[in-house]
Amino acid sequence: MKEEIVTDASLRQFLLGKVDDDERVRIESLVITNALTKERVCAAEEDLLEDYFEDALSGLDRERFQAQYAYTSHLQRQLEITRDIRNWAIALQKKKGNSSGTQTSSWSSVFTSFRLKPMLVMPIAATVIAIVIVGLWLNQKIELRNRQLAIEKEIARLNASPSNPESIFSLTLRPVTLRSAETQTELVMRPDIQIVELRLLWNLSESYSTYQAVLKRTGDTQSLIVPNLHAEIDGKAILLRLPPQILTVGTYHVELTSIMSDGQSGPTEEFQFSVSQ
Amino acid sequence: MARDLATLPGTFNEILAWLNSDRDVAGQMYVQLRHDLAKIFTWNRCSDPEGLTDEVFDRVSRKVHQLRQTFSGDPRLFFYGVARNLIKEESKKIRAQVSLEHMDLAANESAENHNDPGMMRAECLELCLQKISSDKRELILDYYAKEKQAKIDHRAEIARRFGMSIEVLRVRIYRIRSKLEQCIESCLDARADGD
Repeated sequence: MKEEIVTDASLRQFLLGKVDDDERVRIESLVITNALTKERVCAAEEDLLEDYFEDALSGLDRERFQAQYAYTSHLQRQLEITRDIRNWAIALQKKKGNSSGTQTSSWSSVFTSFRLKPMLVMPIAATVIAIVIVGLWLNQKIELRNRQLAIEKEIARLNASPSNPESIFSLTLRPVTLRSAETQTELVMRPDIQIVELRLLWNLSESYSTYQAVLKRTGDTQSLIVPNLHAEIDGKAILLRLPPQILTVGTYHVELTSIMSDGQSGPTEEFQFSVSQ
Repeated sequence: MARDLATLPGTFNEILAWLNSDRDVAGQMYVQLRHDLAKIFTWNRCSDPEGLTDEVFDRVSRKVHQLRQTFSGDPRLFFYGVARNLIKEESKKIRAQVSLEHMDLAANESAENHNDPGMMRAECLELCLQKISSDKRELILDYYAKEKQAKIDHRAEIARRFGMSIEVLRVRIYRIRSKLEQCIESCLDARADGD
């Protein structure tokens, strides 16, 4: 479940240098560690470049874009190259459209040629079927990703704002190194639990600006990353709130990493708990 | 390859081993990490992203042996932490140098005009277009076929045709375009050296 919590709008703000340092560090950390975020940033940058070349940015955003992407002669040259590629494609398409009289896509000409080559129909049909299957598979992946994004958004919301204490079921966890002979903490799920709050006891003397938790169920291949967690006022515990529907029967492992103000990772504690019904 | 790590095979191997126990996977992570760090330096308006990326690896290489024993978590975040420190150091330099930067750009512009950079870029573009496969060339051509509002429907149609989401299509275009840009930059640098 390694997914990011970013939107196209927030990525544009990031690319134009409009976010604060904390948000910048959060997104950059995700770019480094999360392939999906990386791709989304690339896609957002592609859109931003296009809007710049089509003069679709506001005056202020245009200035910000130039400040971010054209502040050296080398970067200006890169921009010119990017513009050249676009202009080449646009000019060539216009030329093709003018010479043929009508604009035809490459697929239309492909189909035209197949009418003259019946022996190619079967392989093409097989290819089309394969593409359809891949498309269905991709759609499924996208749906799963969207569901995961919804979960990630919900978790971010739960951990960002204070919640009604009556709706929270709190569970205090001690670090694995300290528990030694104690029995593992168990969470018994009930239908009336609206929010599960894990109080992760922090036994080190130093406290940090934020923390990041990685939650993984034993036996699962994916894990859930929850950044930007904060300690309680006295610094003795870090709160991790989760929607109960993501917790299924099994044993969970939580790795809690402190994040220093310069973005570097600090000490880590590990916790375990089990879920039953 | 980082400029110094290649001369220190032991350190380089240790960095790879720290990134991932599978050497092939570690190699890919290393290349991707370099690319990501250079991007981050660019986003933070640093003057020499590639040089700073080398500096990150230099600094980490001095500690990698100890880090492998003590650091827990994704090692890439440690590299990122070092990069953040370098960004802070650079930002102090940028404030002092910004007026000189504009002067340098004006000087470069007049030199470039003399050599008709537009024509050189066009020639390099033509050369580099020959180096990518025809289907990638067609995809780029088709992707940029329309402008402004018309392009949205057109690109949705392309994505549907290839059975992918518009987002996946955008990323694919980004990658093809990036490869073309790297090729064109190398071509321009080679011509500049030849002059």
